[in-house]
Amino acid sequence: MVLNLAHRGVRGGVIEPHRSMLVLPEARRRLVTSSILALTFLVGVALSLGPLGRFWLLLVERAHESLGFASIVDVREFNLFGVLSFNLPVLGIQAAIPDGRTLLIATAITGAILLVTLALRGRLIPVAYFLRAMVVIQATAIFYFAVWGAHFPYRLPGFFVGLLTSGLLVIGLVPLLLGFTYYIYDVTWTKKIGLTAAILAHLAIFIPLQAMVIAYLIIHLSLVVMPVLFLMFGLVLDVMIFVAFYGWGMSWDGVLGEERRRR
Amino acid sequence: MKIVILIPLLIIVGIVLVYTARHYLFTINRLFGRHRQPYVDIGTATWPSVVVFVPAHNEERVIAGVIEALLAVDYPAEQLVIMVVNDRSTDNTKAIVDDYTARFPRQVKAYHRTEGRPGKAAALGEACELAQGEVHLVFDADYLPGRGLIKQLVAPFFDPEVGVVMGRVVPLNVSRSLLTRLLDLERSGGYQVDQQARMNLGLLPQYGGTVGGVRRAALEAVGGWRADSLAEDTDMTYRLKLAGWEVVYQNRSECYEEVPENWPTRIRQIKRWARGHNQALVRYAGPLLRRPVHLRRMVVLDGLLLLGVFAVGPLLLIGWGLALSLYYLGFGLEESIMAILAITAYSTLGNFAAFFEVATAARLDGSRERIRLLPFLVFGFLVSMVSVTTGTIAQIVGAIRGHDHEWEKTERYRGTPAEPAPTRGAG
Repeated sequence: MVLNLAHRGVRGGVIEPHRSMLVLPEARRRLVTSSILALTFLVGVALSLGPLGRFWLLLVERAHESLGFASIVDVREFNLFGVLSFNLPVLGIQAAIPDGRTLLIATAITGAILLVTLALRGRLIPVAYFLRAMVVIQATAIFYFAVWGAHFPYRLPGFFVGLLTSGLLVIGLVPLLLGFTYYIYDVTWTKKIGLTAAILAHLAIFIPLQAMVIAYLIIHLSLVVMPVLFLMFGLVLDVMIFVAFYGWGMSWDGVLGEERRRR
Repeated sequence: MKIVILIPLLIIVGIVLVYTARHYLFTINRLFGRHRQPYVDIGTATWPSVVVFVPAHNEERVIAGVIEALLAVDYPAEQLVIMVVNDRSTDNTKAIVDDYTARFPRQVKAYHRTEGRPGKAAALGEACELAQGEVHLVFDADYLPGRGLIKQLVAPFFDPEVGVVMGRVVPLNVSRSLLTRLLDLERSGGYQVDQQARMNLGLLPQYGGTVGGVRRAALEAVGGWRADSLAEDTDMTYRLKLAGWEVVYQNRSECYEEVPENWPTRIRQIKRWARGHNQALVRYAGPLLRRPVHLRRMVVLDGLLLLGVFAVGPLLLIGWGLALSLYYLGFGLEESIMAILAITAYSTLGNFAAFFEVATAARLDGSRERIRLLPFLVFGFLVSMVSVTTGTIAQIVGAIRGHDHEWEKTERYRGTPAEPAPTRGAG
C-alpha cells in the first residue's frame, strides 16, 4: 500500500518509472513458466509429426495435380530418435541439368538483373543489395553448371525432402525460440498460445507449398536455379516469417501496461 | 578439400554463436538484472567547471540549435563554457558561431580551425589544449541536449574513479523514412539494452563520442585525443579502460540526434565507423589480451568482442562463401543441408538474438508498434554487412598503398523536406 502510494502523483495519477529503469519483475517465475510452456509446445509439435506428414502429403498431392506434374507422389519414412516415426511426401520427378542454351539465357537474365540493380537508387538501395546477392549466387550456379554440370550432386526428389525436413526443423525451433524470447514477457497466456499457434499453423501450410513452388520453378527452369532458390527463398524465408510474427506479437500490450492504464 | 572448407566454416559459426549468446545474455540481463547506475539526479553540489565542445564542420543547418539548447541548460552558468570547434567550415557556420560569441562572450567561445589534419579527433585535440575545465563534454552539432542533461552527465564524475561518461542517443527524425525508423530500432537496442547490460554487468560500456565526456585529468593522463584516430570515441574508451579509469553509461541521460535519412549517407557512416573500429581493433586487441591486472577476464572478453563487432560482417560473408562451396562440392544432401543450416542459423536465427534485443529495447521504450518493422531490419543488416566489408577492404588496400584516410562528414537534414533525393548510388 505504502509502495503503491509512493508511485502516486499529487492528483492521484500513477507516476510511471522512466523507460531507462523499466524491468520485468519475477524473473524466476517467468523463466520457469516460459520453459514449461515451450516444452509443452515442443512435445505437442513432436506428437503432431505424424498428422503433419499426412497433411503435407495431402497438400503436395493437390498441388501436384494443379501444377500438372507428370509424376507420382511417394512417401518416405523418417524416424525421430527411434521413438517417433512419420512420413514425408517425395516428388518422383527429375529436373533437367541445364544445357548450353539454358545457361546462356540464365546468364543474360542474371546480367540484366545486375544492370537493373545499378539503376536502383535512394530508398531502393537495400533492394539492389538483395538482388545483387541473388546475382552472385546465380552466377556461381551458372559457372558451376558450365564447368562441372553433370557432377551436380543434388536431384529434385532428395532436395524436395531436404526442404521439408529443414522446414520441420524451423517448426520445431519455434516453441524454443518463443520460450526464451517471448513467453518471458508480461503478455497474457492467451496471446502467448495464440501467437505460437498462428506461427505453427502458418508454417505448416506454407512450407509444403513453398517447396512445391520451388520444385515447379526448378522443373521449368532446370537445376541451375536450385542454389539461389534454396539459399534465398528456403529456410531464410521461413525464418523471416517467424520474425514477422514475432514482431507482431511483441507489439501487443502486456499485462503490466494494461494494469498501469487501469490505475 | 571439404574438410579444409568445413573447419574455417565451423570456426566462423562458433564466433558468431558467441556473439549470439552475448546478445541473449545482455537482453536477459537488461530485462531481469539489477540495474547499476552511476551518480545521477544530484540537485545541489559544488559543480565542477565544464567545457562543452561542439565540433562543427559545415553545420549551418544545426549549429544554432545546439548552442541555444546548451545556453538553456540548468548548469551553473559561471561553471559552464560552450566551445564550438569550427573545423574548416566553408558554409555559414563561422558567421553563426561568431554571432553567438559576440552576444554571449563569457559562455560561448569559438575555436576556428583553418588548417591541420582533418577530423574530429584532431580538432578536439587542438581545442582541448586551449580550454580549461575539470570536465570536458562533447556534443555533435546536430544534438539537442535537454535542460538537465549537463548536470546528469557531470554527476558521475563525483566518483573519482570515473574517467568517461556516456549518455543515451535518441533519434529525433524518426518518422522521416523507413531507414530512420530502422535506425531508431537499432539505436534503441544498442543503448537501452546493450550499453545498459554492459554497465549492469560491470563490463565495458562504450563512450560514443557525443552525449558524454571525459574527466580532464584522465584525458591528460592518457595523452589527450589521438589526432590519427578514425574513431576517437572507441579509441578513448579503450585507452582509459586500459589505464584503469571507469567507463560508465547513464541510460537516463537522453539526447536527441539526427540519424541519416538516406541510404548513401548511412553507408558512408557505417564505412567510417568500420574503419575506426578496425583501427582500434588493431591497436588495442594486443594490450587487452595481455590483460592489465585491474581488468577482469570478462571485461577483457567483452572488450575484445566489442572491438571485433565490425569484423563480423566480413566473417559472415566469408561464411556464406564457404557454405556455398561446400554445397557445390556435394557434401551429401543431409550434410550439405547441415552446412547450409549452420550458415543460415547464424545469419538468421543467430541474428535473431539481435531481433530479440531490438524488440526488447523498443518494447521498453514504449515504441511497440514500431516493432512490427522488425523483418525489415534484415535489409539494414544486409547493407551493413556489405558496407562494413567493402569499407574494411578499402582500408586494408589503403594501408598497403600508404593512402591516408579521407574524413567524411555525415549529412544533416534539419529544415529539409522528407526523403531528399540521393546524391550518389549504392557504391
